Amino acid sequence: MLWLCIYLPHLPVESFGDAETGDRPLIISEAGAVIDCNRQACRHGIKIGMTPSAAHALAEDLRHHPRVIQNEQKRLEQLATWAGQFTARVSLDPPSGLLLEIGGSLRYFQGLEPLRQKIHQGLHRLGHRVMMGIAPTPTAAGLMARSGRQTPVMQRSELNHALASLPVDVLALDAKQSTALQGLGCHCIGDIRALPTAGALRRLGKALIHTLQKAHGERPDPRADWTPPAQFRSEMEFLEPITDVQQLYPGMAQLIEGLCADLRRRDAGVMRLRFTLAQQSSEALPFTLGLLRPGRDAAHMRLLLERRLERLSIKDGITGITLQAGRLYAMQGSNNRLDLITEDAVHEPSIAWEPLVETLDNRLGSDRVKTLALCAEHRPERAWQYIRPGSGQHQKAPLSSHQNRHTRTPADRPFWLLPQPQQLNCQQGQPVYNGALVLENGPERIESGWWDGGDIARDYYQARNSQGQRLWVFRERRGERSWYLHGIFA
Amino acid sequence: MNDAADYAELHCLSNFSFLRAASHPEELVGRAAALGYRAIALTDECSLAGVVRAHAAARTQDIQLIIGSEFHLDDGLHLVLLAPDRRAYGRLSALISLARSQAKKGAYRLSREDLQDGLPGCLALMVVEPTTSPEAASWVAETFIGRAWVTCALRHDGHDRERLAHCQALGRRYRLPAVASGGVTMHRRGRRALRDTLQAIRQGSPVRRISGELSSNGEGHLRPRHTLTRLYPAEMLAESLRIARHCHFSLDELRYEYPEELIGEGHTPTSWLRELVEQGGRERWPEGMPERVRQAVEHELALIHELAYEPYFLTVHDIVAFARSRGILCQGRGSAANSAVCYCLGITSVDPVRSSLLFERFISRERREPPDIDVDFEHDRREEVIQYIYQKYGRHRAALAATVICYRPRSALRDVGKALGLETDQIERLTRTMQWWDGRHIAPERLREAGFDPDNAMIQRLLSLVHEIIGFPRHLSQHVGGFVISQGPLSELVPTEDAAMAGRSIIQWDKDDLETLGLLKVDCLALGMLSAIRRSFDLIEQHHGRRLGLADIPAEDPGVYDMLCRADTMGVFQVESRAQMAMLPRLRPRCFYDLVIEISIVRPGPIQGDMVHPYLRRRNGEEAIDYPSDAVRGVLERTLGVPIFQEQVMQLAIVAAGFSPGEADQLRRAMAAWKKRGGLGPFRERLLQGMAERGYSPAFAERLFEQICGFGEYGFPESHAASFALLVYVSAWIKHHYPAVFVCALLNSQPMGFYAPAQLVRDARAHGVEVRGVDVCESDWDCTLEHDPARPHQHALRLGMRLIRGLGETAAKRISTSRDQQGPFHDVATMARRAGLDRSHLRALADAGALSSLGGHRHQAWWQVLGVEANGPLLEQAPHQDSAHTLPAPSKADDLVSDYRSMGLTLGEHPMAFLRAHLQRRGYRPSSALSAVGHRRIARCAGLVINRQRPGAAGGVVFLTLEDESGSTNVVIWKDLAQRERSLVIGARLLGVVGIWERRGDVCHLVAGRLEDYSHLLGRLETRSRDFH
Repeated sequence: MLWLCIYLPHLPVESFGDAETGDRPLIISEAGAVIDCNRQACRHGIKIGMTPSAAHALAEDLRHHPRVIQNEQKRLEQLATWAGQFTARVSLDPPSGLLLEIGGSLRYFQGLEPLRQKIHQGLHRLGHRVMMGIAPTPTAAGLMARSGRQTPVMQRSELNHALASLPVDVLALDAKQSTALQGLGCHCIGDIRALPTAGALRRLGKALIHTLQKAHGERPDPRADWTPPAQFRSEMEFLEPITDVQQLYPGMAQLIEGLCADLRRRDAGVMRLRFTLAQQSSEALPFTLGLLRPGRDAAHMRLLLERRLERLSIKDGITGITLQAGRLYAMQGSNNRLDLITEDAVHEPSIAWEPLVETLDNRLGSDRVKTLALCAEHRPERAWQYIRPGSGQHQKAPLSSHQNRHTRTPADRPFWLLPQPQQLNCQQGQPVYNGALVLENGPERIESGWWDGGDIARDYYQARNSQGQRLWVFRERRGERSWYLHGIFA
Repeated sequence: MNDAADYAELHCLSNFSFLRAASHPEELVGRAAALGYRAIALTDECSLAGVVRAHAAARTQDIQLIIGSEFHLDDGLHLVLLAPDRRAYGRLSALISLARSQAKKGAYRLSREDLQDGLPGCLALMVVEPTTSPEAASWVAETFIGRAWVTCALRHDGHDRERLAHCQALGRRYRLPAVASGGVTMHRRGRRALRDTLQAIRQGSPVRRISGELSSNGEGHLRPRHTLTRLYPAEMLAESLRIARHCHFSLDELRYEYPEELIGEGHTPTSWLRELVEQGGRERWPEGMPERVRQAVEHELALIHELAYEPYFLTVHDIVAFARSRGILCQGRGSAANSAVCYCLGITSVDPVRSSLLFERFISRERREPPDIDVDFEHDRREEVIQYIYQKYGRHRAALAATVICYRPRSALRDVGKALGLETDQIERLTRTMQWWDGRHIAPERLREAGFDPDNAMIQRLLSLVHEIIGFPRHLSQHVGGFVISQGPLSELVPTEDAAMAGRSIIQWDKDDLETLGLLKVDCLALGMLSAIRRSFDLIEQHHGRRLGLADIPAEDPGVYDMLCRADTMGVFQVESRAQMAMLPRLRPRCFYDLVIEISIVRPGPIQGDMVHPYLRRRNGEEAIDYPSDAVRGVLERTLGVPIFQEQVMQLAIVAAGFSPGEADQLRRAMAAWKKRGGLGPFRERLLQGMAERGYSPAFAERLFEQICGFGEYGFPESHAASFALLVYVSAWIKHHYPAVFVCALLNSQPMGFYAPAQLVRDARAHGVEVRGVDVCESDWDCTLEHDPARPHQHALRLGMRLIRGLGETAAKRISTSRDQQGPFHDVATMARRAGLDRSHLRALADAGALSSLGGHRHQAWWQVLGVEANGPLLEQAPHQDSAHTLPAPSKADDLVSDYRSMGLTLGEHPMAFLRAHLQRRGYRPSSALSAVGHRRIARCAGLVINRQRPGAAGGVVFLTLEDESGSTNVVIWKDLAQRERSLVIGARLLGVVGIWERRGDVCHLVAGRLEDYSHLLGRLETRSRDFH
């Protein structure tokens, strides 16, 4: 058996889609220390282990994000699925490694070197820097990869020599073990192996000694195989909200790439690619790409994507993309599935309006299919918004601190709101709209919105005119103190 | 147009309702007065923390202040309680204390049960909303019979009609009069942005995310009366006045109620004080009180009696007597040292015979303020004193004053930045520009440098909010040592809460509040040197059989003064800093009074660098000494005609310009504050005129006035300097005669002083003290002295286990106890078992090299320790038999790294010795070689940075001390270089300096021209520097 360990030293940074784009330095921190940084950051002299403030001092426009382990785990799993194209036996070696048993694949890929190249290039395309270690035992491969020793160890007999000079910090040590080894003056694996086994076992713990034994092939080291999930789903998060639609393309293309690799492995195709775009301060935006026929051609999908993106307009910053494959189809010949509605209605038991929405999306563009929702805001023009149908309407329940318990529900609101407040004429100081207005209720004074430049200061009144219309008017409290019509009660 | 009806605001919150309201108490009072309100009630939420400030503001304006507090009960009931008289106030204060004690710090809990007795005397206003239940109104009416109202705040939120209707309906139904109130949380409408920001900070969410939960408008401010007249029914406004008229309590009514148990049987406070003073006088002067002192005592006692301060002195005397009875060293400091009475009572140690005292510096009729006595105690044992106070008076009668923690520029920027939704990095960048904050703005260029657009609306909003919020209180914390002690329960005087520290309680007022109200406070401070001195006395008694006290030290020992003149003063109180070490060889003190001057003359400000103090010039005979009159001579002769002390200025004002002592004291206070308030104006006139009348030349008068202004901020009180000078002499005497004792006591009293243990140990060795390493077979927790058979009259210093990082006193004590009781240890396992040590203890010992006599070198010791750990607790009886194994020994460099990491010092070679070859190749020779370098020649020096100082008044100059294997070097880095190389100056641990060597007599330093960072050569070595600003 021959094992290849893929070690991704920059997984924390690379798990964000836009880490290396642009030229801003980026650091990822955990527990108050920098654990990873992108190339730009390294050029500024930022090092792992620094405090974020120290890093800030070295780079003015630094981006700083806390570590998100879930993203890394997901990415690792996605890569494990991707790696299935090289061998049937893939194992996860968290937090940043994958193990591939390549003994059986060497012939198919025509040798070790070509295989290594393919893996390296593939990962590079997916945006990862990688160190690989090759050894007869999985543990040894992992240690070699982490230490940066890329020379393959082909025979078990070479293991002792190869591992002896590796520094002890390639072993995942906790603080206690680390200090213990330091105290004993053990700096490399060879030093540990020089200690009497019984004494070392007692002092350093079984786990550590057994790990070394496994690495040297003196102890069995079974690894659980990775099975990819049945349903394809992959995600990508951005550090900075993307406002330009064109910048979404690379990330989505990468996800498509991953999907197609998975489809090839399963020997299947899809007709629907359901993207979900997470937005900075609004609900997530669904974006679905539909194919007329099941397929798994990445290039074709990318073309469709480009065309669809041209029609997409985004109002808010996009912070992440998720891709879920629609239903899988076996790739056998071409079936003409033109009638989308019938097909979906028959095969997908869901609420009837969802397919309707999808169809409308595909015909009109998903940016033109919307529904209404309320927001918590005092300014009437911002108290509502368009959202995508089906996105969970989460209106946060207001905090129940005592002062909010009482009058947080606004007073009566008109059914119709004008898109823009309409200035009213005045006669003898009273506002007029289809006749003189009689002010009934009020004023309801709204002074809010200073934080985003949209501060308003208005006194709202309910008014009635001689024609019986009930209107919602306001008077500006600043400037000209003009009267406006803002809404109509139905 | 309606007339504007009269009005009193009865429901108003200040920023002492932390993070809820957006105006200072003074602003609210000022605005209410400007609007012509009759009265304003300050009703912070479960707090009276702001009332004193409001009271001080109301005193100067024509408006009545009513004291109250608002509460939200746990069932949602919203009540405002007002205190119309002293007794009601006491009950309100006690209620607040109760509510706070029922919840964790910063919060309170109040339920209906707590109000069962209806808080007799207090007035209750129930705040009505449309959702208020009738049942609640009924309860209020029944609980506060005849003293309850309903009230509502009308704020144009669209529900005013319902609110008012409901309020009036409840009032009619339960026969509760309705009164108008504002529910005010800011003094002006324009504060609404800040108010919203505070809510965002409180909820931990950016403003835009909670936009729906904010108030919908800015009506919650103090509104003009004509607006209120249009809004509220007339009788509700009139009711507010009726309530205000009912209230006549003022904080001026609060009097300090003295503890009575201090007075001896059959005595009054006056007679008892005299009794104690006479007793003390007999102890101090067995042959009888000198005449001058007698006069001073009579004068003081008369003034004390006139101002009725006897109980205060008795309280302080009692505390000091307790401390002495326990052998805790203590000493009064500050202006109290001007008092002969305090000397007789044993509170201070400045002998009135040896010094000229000015009692009015301490207490004066004109000042109308209570005296303020600060007492220093040994820092290690101050807690005993504090517990004594709590025990004697009970936690309900004694509490610490509070300190109000306010927003400063950095914290303001962080919190406001987050509330406005800025990213962490943006806030980080902005924080760095805060160094340019001048109180109002940041210069636009600075903002642009940091990557911000100064015209950006968001930035402007941010800075404007930051400006407003700076100075806003955030929470209360305990004051360092200021105690308030009362006769009755303290909570009826002012609300008490738990402090963060267990076993401590604080009152809701701070020092300034207490001063404003004339309440007395005793400051129990901690002084590290007192601990060190007491430990020295104990060691001298133990090892030399001599029991000494502060008063027993032989005075005026020439050897001691020789040492001081050499500036060989590391560890000596007050004179060990760089600035002092530079001054000592120039001033050359030869007597006690010289020390008093030495302490006072080295102050921040103009006396820096090149400028030589006029006193020194005269002392060295470079300038003539003359006095315009005998009166002036009498005041300034002791300082060669140069005013150095605050008391001298006061005395000059008295003898040369005819001020009364009390007026002279006022002058002194004006001097201290004149830069802020901008004017000694009236005093200047009086001074010049007074001196002209007495025949002094206008030139002299002007010059004197200039001198007063010049050192107004920096002048030291002579009494304070005298108290400290005593400690300088005593500590210097001990260092000179018993160097091993001295360093042992200093090490055992850490943290304190200017230098780290590493430097103290080096200094001791340089003085010939042998230092032995920490060893579990010999060391105690504390450092100890051991006999040195080779030198019978000297002792060797054995380092104690307290230096080991990660060991802890309990474990160390178990080791030494086990050794004492059961004999020596033979191996690590037995020791671990006998002393009950766990793995972290053993590792700490191994790392420190303390197991060398049991386990060999460090690696060997670790092997043994790990073996013991693996045994586990159950295998006590049968230690595992290991095959013996020899590990390779650590290198010297490895040992050095471990020494520093574990103890912060090494007895082996200095780290620089290892690096000398490397640095030599770059031209850096040891610091001892610098003594051969001439004045103003180029020189190079490299060393560990052990001290960094950036005194605020020195204009950006940084002083560093570099240490290498042969000694230390003082480096001066001027402002430009310091700014250019800022990160190096702040962060480098091993620095190479190329510069100009300056030598003036014995005082030398290296003025840096270029800096090189060699910190990377230190590798894993951990070094620490003591940094001061």
